[in-house]
Amino acid sequence: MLAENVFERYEKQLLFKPIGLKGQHKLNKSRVGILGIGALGSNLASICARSGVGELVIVDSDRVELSNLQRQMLFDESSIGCYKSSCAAEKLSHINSEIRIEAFTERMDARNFRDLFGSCNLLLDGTDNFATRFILNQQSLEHGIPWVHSAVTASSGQSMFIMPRKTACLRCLIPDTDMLADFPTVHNSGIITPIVTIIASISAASALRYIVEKHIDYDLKYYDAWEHRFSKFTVTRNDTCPHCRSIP
Amino acid sequence: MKINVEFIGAISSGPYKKSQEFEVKDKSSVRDFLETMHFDKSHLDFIQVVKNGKRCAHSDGIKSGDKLELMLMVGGG
Repeated sequence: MLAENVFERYEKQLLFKPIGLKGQHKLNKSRVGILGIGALGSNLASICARSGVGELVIVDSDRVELSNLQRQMLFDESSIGCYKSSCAAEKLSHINSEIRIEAFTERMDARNFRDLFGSCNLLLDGTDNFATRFILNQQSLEHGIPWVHSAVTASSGQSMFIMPRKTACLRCLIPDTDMLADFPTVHNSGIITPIVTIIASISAASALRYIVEKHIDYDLKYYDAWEHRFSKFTVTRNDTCPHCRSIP
Repeated sequence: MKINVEFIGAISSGPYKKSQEFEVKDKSSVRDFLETMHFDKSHLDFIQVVKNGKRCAHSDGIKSGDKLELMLMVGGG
């Protein structure tokens, strides 16, 4: 059920014809999981809460540090030392008290995936490493749950919608993962704040459109915020992908 | 044969310009070309290649006059 003040709270979003009242109902009935509530995750969660996604499941095992505040938009100096998941849940409840938020201070793995995210309609990637993303990829394929991949480092980032059995998956793109430990991340290559909000916004737009229209996007979007260079290209499934081949 | 290569986003252009012409051996694949470059070997699988406007596999061949756009998938969040 939509709240009585829906017309006031979502006034401008309702005016956007592809969403309208019907789309707002769909958003309200959706349950979205967000793995990692750091830079990308806090932006994704904020957009989902403000847009009226009815249920949010947020999972993160870390605590807030001073160095997070540059780019993790749900936190401030009073958050330092707190668990990100519970702190984010509280902030999100102040943004939109009419949605349901479940927060878990845990690490996701193959054993707890179903308990954490099994009832979600859609998952959003707020993680900070490919090792976790490949677990998310395989689990979402096995459970048939679509997800939106996002990643950022330095001034660049990418976003890709992944629908099990239809689109390419993350492993279709990256066949060999033996060298993950050496891969550049924000910990060794840094990051600028704008790329986080840009990529989170691109991914959130894909998520909202999927919820409202069941639209499936087959493109990988890549943006460099320093050069203002946007690239978009279609990704097809890889017949030899070990993750896609593992699902019936 | 000669090809045009553009380095986009997080991928390092190393000693080269952001957009540059390269001489490559006949019958080279995209992967052959990437392996002649300055890239860290552990990053090669993370490089997405768009050839003449369409994403291609590293096993794809290269022809004279092809335009490659190279993007390194990033991993932070």
